[in-house]
Amino acid sequence: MRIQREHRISREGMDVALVADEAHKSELILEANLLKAQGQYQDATDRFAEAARIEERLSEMLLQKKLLDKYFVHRFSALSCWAQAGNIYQAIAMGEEMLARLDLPDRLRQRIQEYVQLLRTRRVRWLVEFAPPAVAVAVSQ
Amino acid sequence: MADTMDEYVLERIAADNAIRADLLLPFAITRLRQAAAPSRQAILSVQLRDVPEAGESHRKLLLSWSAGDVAEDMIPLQERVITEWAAAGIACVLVPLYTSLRVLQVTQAGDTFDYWVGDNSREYALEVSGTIEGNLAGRHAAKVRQLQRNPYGVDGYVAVTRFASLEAIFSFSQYGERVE
Repeated sequence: MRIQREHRISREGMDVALVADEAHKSELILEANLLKAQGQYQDATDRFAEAARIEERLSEMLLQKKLLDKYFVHRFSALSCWAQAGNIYQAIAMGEEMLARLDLPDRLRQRIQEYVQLLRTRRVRWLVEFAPPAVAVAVSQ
Repeated sequence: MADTMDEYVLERIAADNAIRADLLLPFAITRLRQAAAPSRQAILSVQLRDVPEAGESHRKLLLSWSAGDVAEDMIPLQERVITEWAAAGIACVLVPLYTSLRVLQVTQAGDTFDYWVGDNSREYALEVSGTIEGNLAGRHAAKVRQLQRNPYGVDGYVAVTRFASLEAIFSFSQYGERVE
């Protein structure tokens, strides 16, 4: 017989609008993952970006309601959606913002540190490898 | 314990979950048809571990669907992707059928699990995996270990399906539980 206490995320205080946003965000991520698997990258990133904006808005509302566990879930999801959308700058900024919070649980802090470090590494690779073609400039005398 | 036969119409996953589970339907039907063709139904052997209560039980689950040859309408995808999405479709059956919960949300990269399940008051993690012919017990154990590393420290469910033999394991594990 199990006698340990339950470890779960509380949904107390979730209203109809928040639940609808959650469902819409999930639809976008499902579609984005499917489009990505089909090689339709532009459409996939469009959906990840829209999901990221919803997750940001959701997390801000959850913070106002002081639903801190749910806030962390959706904030980390927003970060991850921005990364999937290709906006690594925004993703890293959100990660740093979360890491600055003193109330961030240790195990989530460690996961976000790892994730942000991965993004920083990818950003360096992008900066080094991305070299736009030289542009000829006509100089008038 | 004697097997008990349950029944479920696959198309119900859209109504029984909060996510757009209908997107997963063609994948689930494609994989089930390969084992059950030409009929539009398949019997899945389900091993329940600590679902809905402590202990292990076995069920026979008759899955039926009305859709025709969905594979013809699908854009070509890797076999592995089809199998994983098919397993997600099966998880969307198992969660509402064997718990009082529904699939609430899709997670994003970094969470170490795939979905959030719950009701109006609580949420748990759900990790899903599928294989055609692989080792089901081994895959289940690996997924439980993965779930135990979740960064939120929540309890959760694991649903794994092997399509060639039409078998599934659906389990619940508490965070911090010793994993074999």
